Amino acid sequence: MKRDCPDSNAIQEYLDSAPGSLEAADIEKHAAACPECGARLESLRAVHSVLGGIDPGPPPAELRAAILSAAAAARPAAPSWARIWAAAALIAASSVLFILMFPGVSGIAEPAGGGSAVSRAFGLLESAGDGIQSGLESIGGLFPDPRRLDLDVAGAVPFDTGALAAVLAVLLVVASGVNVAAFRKTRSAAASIRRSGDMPYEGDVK
Amino acid sequence: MSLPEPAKEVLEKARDGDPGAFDSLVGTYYRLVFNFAWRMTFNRDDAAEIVQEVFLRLFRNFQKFNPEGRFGPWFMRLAVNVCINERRSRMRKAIPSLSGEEDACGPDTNLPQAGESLDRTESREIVLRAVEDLKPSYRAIVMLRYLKDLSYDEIAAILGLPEGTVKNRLFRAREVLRAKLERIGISR
Repeated sequence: MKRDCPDSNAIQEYLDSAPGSLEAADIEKHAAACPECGARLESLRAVHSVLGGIDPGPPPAELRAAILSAAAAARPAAPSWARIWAAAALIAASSVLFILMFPGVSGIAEPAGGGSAVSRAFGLLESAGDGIQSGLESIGGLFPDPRRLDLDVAGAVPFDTGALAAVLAVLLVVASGVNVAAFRKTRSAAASIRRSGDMPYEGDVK
Repeated sequence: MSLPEPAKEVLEKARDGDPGAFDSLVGTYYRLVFNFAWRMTFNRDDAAEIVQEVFLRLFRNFQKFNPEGRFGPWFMRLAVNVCINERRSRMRKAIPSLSGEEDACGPDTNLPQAGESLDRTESREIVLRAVEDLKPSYRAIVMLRYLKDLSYDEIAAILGLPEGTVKNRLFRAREVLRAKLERIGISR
């Protein structure tokens, strides 16, 4: 390469730029007179032509549908009413069970004359009702103006301990069943998404 | 040429999880991403898988998009990085072929063939083989340049690199391809 020959970068800029400029005319004139630069220009033109000429053709016909299907599978399921009620039941049942097992730490005042475990449990139901209410409020505006769940412990207690335990058991089984079913559904959807490795996608390309 | 840019309303709806708006985005970009992914793999099946992965990542990471910026370059950067990672992964797994037979990473047979002289066909094979040997990040720049005849500054916006760096890498990559072509002497 002689001193007045354009460097490879200049030739490449010439190939990338619109034809007809003054610099382009200079390069063409030089390449016509200089065999070395002429050969270089021809080689770069061949590369340019190959890379500009390749084309994969249209994408597979089913590709768009497959993309949308994969995105739909990845979409998180909206909370269903069954799940909301199951969660509420689980909270209530757990709270009552807790007070039955640990009456000393509940902080609920016992009625005059002592009070049974059942009356303490209903006392806790009142506080659990408040907890459920605040939980429902946090679910995202589903209950903009919820009625308070007032559970009155005054008066006669209509259930005995056995009946209460049975209700608790049913609540726990239902809530667990709903949540296990939801978990299986989520796991199944996740398994259907192929190639879910967690690769970075931001940052510089080094 | 420049990248397509969806309407702001479509982007906002798609970010909020509207399936119709997401479908519209897929319609706008999937051919472009498929074309680029194919240029990075020379394999239609692999390219189709990559396209699905790219849109899945868009779906999961849409909240990271800054609505004040341009969507096209942001999204294409995502696509480029998925392709580069995929390419690197395949290069690590690939066993060098000593027999000269077509291997899994080689160009597939869908390349246009008709109406070309033998020299031109051979030149193309040499160039495409040489492309396979480029570093994925360099290959990405070369392929972006020819994807839609993108300008240097558009490529720079996609990659988040200075325009000078893009030009430098593009020229170096093409110089490597030219040198390989000249070494074999087909083009002379």
